[in-house]
Amino acid sequence: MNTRDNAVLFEFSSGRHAAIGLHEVAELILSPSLVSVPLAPDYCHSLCIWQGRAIPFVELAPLIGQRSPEIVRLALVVTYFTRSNGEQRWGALGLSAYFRMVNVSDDAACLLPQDSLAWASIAHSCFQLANEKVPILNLDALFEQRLELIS
Amino acid sequence: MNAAAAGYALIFFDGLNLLIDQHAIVSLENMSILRGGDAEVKASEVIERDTCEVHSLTAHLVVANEIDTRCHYIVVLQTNEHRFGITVDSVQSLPIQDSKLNSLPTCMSVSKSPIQAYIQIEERIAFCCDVSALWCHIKSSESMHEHKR
Repeated sequence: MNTRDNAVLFEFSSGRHAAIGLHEVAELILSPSLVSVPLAPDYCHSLCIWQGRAIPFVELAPLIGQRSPEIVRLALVVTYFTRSNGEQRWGALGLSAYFRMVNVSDDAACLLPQDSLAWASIAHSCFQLANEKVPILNLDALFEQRLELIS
Repeated sequence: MNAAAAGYALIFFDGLNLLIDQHAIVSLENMSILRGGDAEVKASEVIERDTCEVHSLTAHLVVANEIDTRCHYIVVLQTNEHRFGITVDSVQSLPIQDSKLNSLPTCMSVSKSPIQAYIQIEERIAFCCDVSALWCHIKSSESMHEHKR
């Protein structure tokens, strides 16, 4: 790990990446224990049992109109503070591959990808990495509101 | 001060644990009440004595195309205006405090869904189900089926 690393980059769908702040990562779970929630939206269809608590499990692919992997093998447990009352919460993100840490500087800032309107609701900002625009997620927005599936 | 324990029944079918207010349960019938006559298995059956429809639901609360004859019981439920049954594998009484119920996370909460809360029992999750909203959900699922036909 480079001491200048400040973000975690992960693949959520084949060839597609998003990032979160390094300080927001709690744990990587292999073969997470998921419980389907009846009638929940496609992108957050399950609760993940983690350290004895049930936390929402979110997949980004359905939010931008892509199919999610049939079997979830990796979940990244993340933590954030709610904007409404500052309470600490946890959630889990579905990953399609292992994550890596990166250094993101202001110089790399760019506009959000245009493939989905959802990015504007769930991303703080975005940076350019090679040929890809990588959104930086706003976890409070992702977990603390109900999103319409707009691709 | 001890909070009064609410009366819930934990019903189980197709891998799903549902928590139902015991006051909404009218009776528990044996599946044999549906068997023996008509060999055809329909999407819903009617218990003549109670004149109520019986449905089988999947773990996603989708109305199954056929009555699940592997189930052992029918739980007959009562809303303000309607009486209906669902097939289940098991039923058990579960005295719990309402304060133990957790609201669903905002991102997965859907208005009009019969599921708005859950309780964690070790590694198991049971979803608290509003019977009136479940009835509305079943009827709207049925009309969607009809529409597709």
